[in-house]
Amino acid sequence: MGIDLAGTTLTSSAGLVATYSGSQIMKMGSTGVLQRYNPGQPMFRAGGSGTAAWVVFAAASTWDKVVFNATNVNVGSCYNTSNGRFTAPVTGVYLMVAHTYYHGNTAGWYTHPMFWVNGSSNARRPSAGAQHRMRGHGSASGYEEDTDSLEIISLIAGDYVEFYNYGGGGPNQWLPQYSRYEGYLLG
Amino acid sequence: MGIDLGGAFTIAGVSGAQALKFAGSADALTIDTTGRTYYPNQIGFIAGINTDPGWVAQTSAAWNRQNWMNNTSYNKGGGYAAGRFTAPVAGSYLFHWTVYQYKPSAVQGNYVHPQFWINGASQPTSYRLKAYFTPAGYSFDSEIADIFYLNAGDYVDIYVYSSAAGISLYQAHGLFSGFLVG
Repeated sequence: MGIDLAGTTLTSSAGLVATYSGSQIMKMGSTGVLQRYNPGQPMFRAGGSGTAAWVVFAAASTWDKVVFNATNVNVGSCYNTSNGRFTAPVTGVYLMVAHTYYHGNTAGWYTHPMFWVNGSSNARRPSAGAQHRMRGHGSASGYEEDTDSLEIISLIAGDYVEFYNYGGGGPNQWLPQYSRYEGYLLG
Repeated sequence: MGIDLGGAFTIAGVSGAQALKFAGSADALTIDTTGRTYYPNQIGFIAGINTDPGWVAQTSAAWNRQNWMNNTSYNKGGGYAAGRFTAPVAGSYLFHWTVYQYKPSAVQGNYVHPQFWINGASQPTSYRLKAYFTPAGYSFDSEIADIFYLNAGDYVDIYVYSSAAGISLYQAHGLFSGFLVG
């Protein structure tokens, strides 16, 4: 027994439960906890498949798009394992997190890990420049560092986000099986 | 058309989705036909600078407040202004900061502490250490993130402690953001 709101049903079961097409989409529990997790909530988690093996980027001193070829969460296929793109299914604010396990191959190597939106390094951002991080600068050749990066980005439905690493020096390399790319609709 | 709960709060079908809101206000919560839930007007901000001042040297052996972020791509709830976020409501907030920095020559062994300050006070549990023993003449970033519970009216600033003269940051490559997560 519940209230049917054109497809969304509100019922009382140890709290107020909202259900759509048989799946719980939200629950306000009797302890005051609000649970928003539901099978349709935009989220993905991508990484590299198979046995750990270094992959050398194509060229030195270029922007390298990182393509993670496997997912263990990919709601609504919002992440494309062929081109490395997360496409925002709805307009909203998203939490994006990614890192590569990164290895520098020449003296003076470095990398700029960064999220690109719609093929641009600073689209949808408030800054005049791109959001450069700088990792590995000053490390000796043959050493490694992670490129852990996080960003809260306001996106419009259809915008796509990719993770890039600029390879200063090199060509450098990364270990896909020790790396990940994640996104979640915050609100 | 919707269900009125007590004269103010309504649940209404809107273009195939459900929207919860107070009468006369914007939607607080949307549940769409695929089961996705989102908050079209959730409190949060994303701030940066819309000019490029280049490298800006920091005061040495001091906490440098970063209040140059004069532009926003998202600012709902009215909490952000001039480098400071003031919590409109109590709750748990996610904060993020990143900026590109540089260590000039002759200062290897020096470092920075990027940190979120609350109500004008340093947060010892938020200490980070960046660029310690990065060679002189090289660059780094001071990216950090934290989750804080704030009371309404609490405010959050960004400070970066620079241990030596000449350490600089590139403002156009910086972002300060926050979002109410619950």
